[in-house]
Amino acid sequence: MRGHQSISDHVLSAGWAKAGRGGREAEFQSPVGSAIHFASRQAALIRARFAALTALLLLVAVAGCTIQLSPAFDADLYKTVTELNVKAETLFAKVSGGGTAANFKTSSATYDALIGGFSAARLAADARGAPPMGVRLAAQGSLKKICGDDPTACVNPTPSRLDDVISVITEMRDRHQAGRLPAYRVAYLKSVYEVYMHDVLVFEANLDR
Amino acid sequence: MKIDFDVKATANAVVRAVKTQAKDDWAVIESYVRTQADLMAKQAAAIANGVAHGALKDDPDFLKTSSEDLAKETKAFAQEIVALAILAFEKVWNATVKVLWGAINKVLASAGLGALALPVA
Repeated sequence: MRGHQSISDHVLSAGWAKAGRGGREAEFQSPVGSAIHFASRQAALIRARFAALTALLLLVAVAGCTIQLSPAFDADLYKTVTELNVKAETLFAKVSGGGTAANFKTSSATYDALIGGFSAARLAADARGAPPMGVRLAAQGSLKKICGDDPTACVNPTPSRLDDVISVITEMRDRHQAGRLPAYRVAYLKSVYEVYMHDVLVFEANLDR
Repeated sequence: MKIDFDVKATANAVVRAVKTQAKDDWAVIESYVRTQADLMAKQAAAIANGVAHGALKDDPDFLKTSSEDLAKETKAFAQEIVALAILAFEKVWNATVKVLWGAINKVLASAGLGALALPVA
């Protein structure tokens, strides 16, 4: 249909001025031509922006989000357990030679303060909870074998360890009160206490990220 | 709009961030394991000391309860390592995300666009 040019072809051909029909560098002179040229440039710009934004969004999707798998750091809790630890170690030193029913009274208030203090700290550590994503992770695959039916213990272990600490100090108090606390028992209970307390102090300190 | 995103520099920054964070976290776990092993060894010495001081005769439950304690502590030891490893994984992940978001925001800023807040899952 080369012999029958449309009206728009005529309008467009009129726009090709000096450069001739084949020159791609030629510019449209007519208003319609300019509008088409402008629109195509805008479309190219929008396409470029769209491609750039898509690339950025892909990067965002790959980068993902920051995550929280472990509990938040509790500065008050850390300070409390650190201070209670000093008090407990002082008690172990005081009764290192063994405790008798007769000298129990001199340490009775310290036992109460330690058991009460660690119980309050345990409640605070438990109340802050464990991030659900961390708990789900601890319940997976080989971690499940270690964490068992309580994956929370692998995400927020402090409450369980403080339970153990309270048991040790309660046993020591009861033995002391009953006059059944020889020196070797004190040394043994101190060693058990330090194993659990070390867990608490290391984990809590590392939560400060 | 020209996007000037240096992929190689960003990848290198991610590798550096992961290496530094992982190295720090491994140092924490290694130190924990060493100290805890030391404390458990001291406990074994305390058990031996108890037996040497007549615990078997005067305190028949001593050996039984101490072996139960060691079993419980061993389980707690493994759980603590998992807890520290989960915390380490979180730190490494977040270090990576921060580097990538920093690079994205740098490009957005150079294009005259506002920075995006770091999202939290």
